[in-house]
Amino acid sequence: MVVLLLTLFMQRDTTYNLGDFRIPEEGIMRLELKGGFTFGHREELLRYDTTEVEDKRYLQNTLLNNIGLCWDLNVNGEQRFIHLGLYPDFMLYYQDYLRQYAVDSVQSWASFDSRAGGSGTFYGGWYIGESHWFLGGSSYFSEHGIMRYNYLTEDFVFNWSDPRVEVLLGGGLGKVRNVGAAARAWLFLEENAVASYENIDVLGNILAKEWKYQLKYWRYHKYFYQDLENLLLEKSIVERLSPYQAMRLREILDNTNQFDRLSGTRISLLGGLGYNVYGRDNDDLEPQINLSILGGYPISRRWQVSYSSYNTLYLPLYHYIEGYRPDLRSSIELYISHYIGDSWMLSSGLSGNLDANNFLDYTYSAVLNLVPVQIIWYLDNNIDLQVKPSYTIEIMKVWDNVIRTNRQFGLHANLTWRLR
Amino acid sequence: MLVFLFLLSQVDSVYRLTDFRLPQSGALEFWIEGGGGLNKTGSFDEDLGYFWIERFTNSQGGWIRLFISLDRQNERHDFSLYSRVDASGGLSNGEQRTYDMSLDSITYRMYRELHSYSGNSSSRTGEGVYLSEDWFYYPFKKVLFVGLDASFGADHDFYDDFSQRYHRYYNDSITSKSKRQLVSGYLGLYPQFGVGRLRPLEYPSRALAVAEILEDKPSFKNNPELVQKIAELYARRWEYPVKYWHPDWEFYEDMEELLAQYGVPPAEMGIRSWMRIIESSSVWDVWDYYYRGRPYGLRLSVSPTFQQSISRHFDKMTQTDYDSVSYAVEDLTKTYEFYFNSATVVLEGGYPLTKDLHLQGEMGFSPCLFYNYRWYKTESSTGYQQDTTIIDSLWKIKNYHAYYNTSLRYYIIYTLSITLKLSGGLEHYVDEDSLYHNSWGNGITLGTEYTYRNRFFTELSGGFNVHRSRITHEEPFWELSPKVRFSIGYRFF
Repeated sequence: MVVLLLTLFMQRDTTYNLGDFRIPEEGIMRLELKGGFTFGHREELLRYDTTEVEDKRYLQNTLLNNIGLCWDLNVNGEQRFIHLGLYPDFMLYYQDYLRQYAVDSVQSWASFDSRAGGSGTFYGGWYIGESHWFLGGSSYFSEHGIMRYNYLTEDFVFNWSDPRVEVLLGGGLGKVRNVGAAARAWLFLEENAVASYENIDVLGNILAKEWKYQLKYWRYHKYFYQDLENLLLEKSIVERLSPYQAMRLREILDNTNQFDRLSGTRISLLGGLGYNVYGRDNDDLEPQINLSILGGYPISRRWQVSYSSYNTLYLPLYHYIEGYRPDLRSSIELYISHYIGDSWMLSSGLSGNLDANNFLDYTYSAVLNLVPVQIIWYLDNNIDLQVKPSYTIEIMKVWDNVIRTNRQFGLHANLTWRLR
Repeated sequence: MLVFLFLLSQVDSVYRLTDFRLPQSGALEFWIEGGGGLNKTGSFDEDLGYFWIERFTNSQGGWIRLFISLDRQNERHDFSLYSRVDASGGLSNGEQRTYDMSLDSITYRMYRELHSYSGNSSSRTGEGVYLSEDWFYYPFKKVLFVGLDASFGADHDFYDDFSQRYHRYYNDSITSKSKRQLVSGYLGLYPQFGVGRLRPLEYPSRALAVAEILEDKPSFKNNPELVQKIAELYARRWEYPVKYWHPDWEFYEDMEELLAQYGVPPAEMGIRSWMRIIESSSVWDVWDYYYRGRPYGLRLSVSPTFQQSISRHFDKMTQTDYDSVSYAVEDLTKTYEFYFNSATVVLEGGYPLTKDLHLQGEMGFSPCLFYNYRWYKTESSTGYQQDTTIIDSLWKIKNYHAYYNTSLRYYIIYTLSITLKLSGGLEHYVDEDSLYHNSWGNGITLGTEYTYRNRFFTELSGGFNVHRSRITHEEPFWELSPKVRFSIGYRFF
């Protein structure tokens, strides 16, 4: 029944295949101010699998407030792909803990933390000739200052987090295109009853170049919308833009819901060095190998599947701790999204993490994070509201005979104002 | 300065804002606002060379508010309804240090030694609702009016206080903690009568902005009739959220139709013109709800005040002296109060010096003139009771207060303005011991407001207040308080 309804519902949605729109080079530039809160309730169980069963139980509530800027640029072309991102942020979080032992003993405490700092990423690649093979690289840095107040000890502590810099080089296979511009063009043209393959292609092409106007002009709207109108008139797509059409066009373009709609798959294998500073005196140069997969598939105009996986093997050069061996960190994400008009996006999915410290000793932590439904609502005037409940299961083997199980319910709400 | 402003007002656009008279107008708004502010107060006292007293207070707070308001004017009625729900919190701390001043017998220089110290910190969280209406009825369509101003408010506040005291001579150190909960409500009725009227010029001013944007269109002929019609359309903008789910879509379609009637063909408009018009259409003064819509004119009103209030006060206080509890009390206090004052006189006014520069303000005088009645009754769970009635007649004018607020706002562009505000007041009263209390204060604030595409607005302001108070023949007490405030808001419609 569900499949039948879905099939009927998707008939109009699949008139065109978004993956067929080949925009030579499309990009998105975003400057956003984000603020919100996350509430988390976490339960930890510590189990010893030795002679006596002695369970320990921890309860933890977290309220986190964050505000941050997010700037990123994504360009995908026939010949290259580039991603640049800068993320300065400020966070305030309050945590209270309740530790309950199997025997009658309860301990509780609270802490209040604030964190300010930022991180940045870059990755890019250049395709060899007209093939799907590319040479590429990536880099990453992060640094934060953390101020913590512990209610138990009544202490203020300030320290810089361990800064990290990575530079990786390598190559890979596959092309990923963003069909968000074509999806938005289709929506606008369909509302005006002038949707056709050619019209979507023409409008999608100029929408995909908005980032160039953003970089070139301070008040880029002035030039971008003028050129857009001229193009629509020149190609006789519309006779004129009425105030209603002008407002709808702007609403559809300002909404960030349909910005990231990927089509295709890209696999990259990179190797390089990461530099960490631990505390005041220790640092570490760490060779690493990274295998990543990024992709998506637009099932229809309203439905989208997105997936990604990042796997990094860390190979330490120095052995500060005896027996220190390579670490493996893996993550995977799979989401299916549904777009309702231009204002709503509902998505559902899961993500998983595997963090194997000294993994040859089989000490690991595996996390499965389920997001039953994530809602993004575009209010208007560049403002999105996002609500995301989640349920997380984490299983950790801390050392040989101790298994720790964590379960966490989280509710995250965020307001995003797109500044540019 | 006044001459300069007068000259400025002479060299404006071809039309004067004050020439446009709208038969009716209105505004309907629903918005959310959040913000925060910092305030610091400091003072120093020197008492005949024997004492030196330093006082400082710091306070910071934040709030989030939800507002709904409706304004409506026609030939005979000016009516406004305003409601607010808010939650707020704040932290404040203060300290006072008193030093003994002594003369050093060797160096012959004055030196100081700490005599006593007291410090306190307090946090407050609370929420409240507020509803008010203001109605003026002009039976002859101009000049004379009667009306009724009514307001209702209720608050629930929770205070957590901590204070510490040290005294050198007694060598004691006392700390006290208290938690207080306050629930209060009031209802006020203020019948009013007087002369004069304030007209909102926001609508014609936005209509002139549209005319300016359209000046480069070949078919556009600037004429006062079209500006008047656009102003009337803006004045009916409040009806659109009531009628339509997407009010903006319908509103600008109607504006397009109106422009077509006056010879501007839709094909000539273009997306740029519409974007500029939409961005300039901010006909709301959401950040400053006391002075909305660029008022023009003068209004003098006299209003007797009837106010009934009821409050519940719950205190839980613990005082500690060297880690031992010396005093602990819980107290529930109920207070009822009825207040009547025969007259408060208020003069309000506004004038557009140019279409981008607006002057407005008000001044009020509230003497306990003719007849003033105050009754209050307090019952405490500790057994304390008080039932007091105060009556002042014409022959016993002892208490009065007066205040003024003026602002000068300059619109740099349609959506960005800077405002200079001056405000102050004077208070005089005689207490039960026949001591005269006089105080006055003046403040200056500079602020800027920006409205982003007619919905999203921010305000940043800073300034300082100077306050002077004096009791009978004692030395006057001066205070200086710098402050800064930031708010951000979003208008739903």
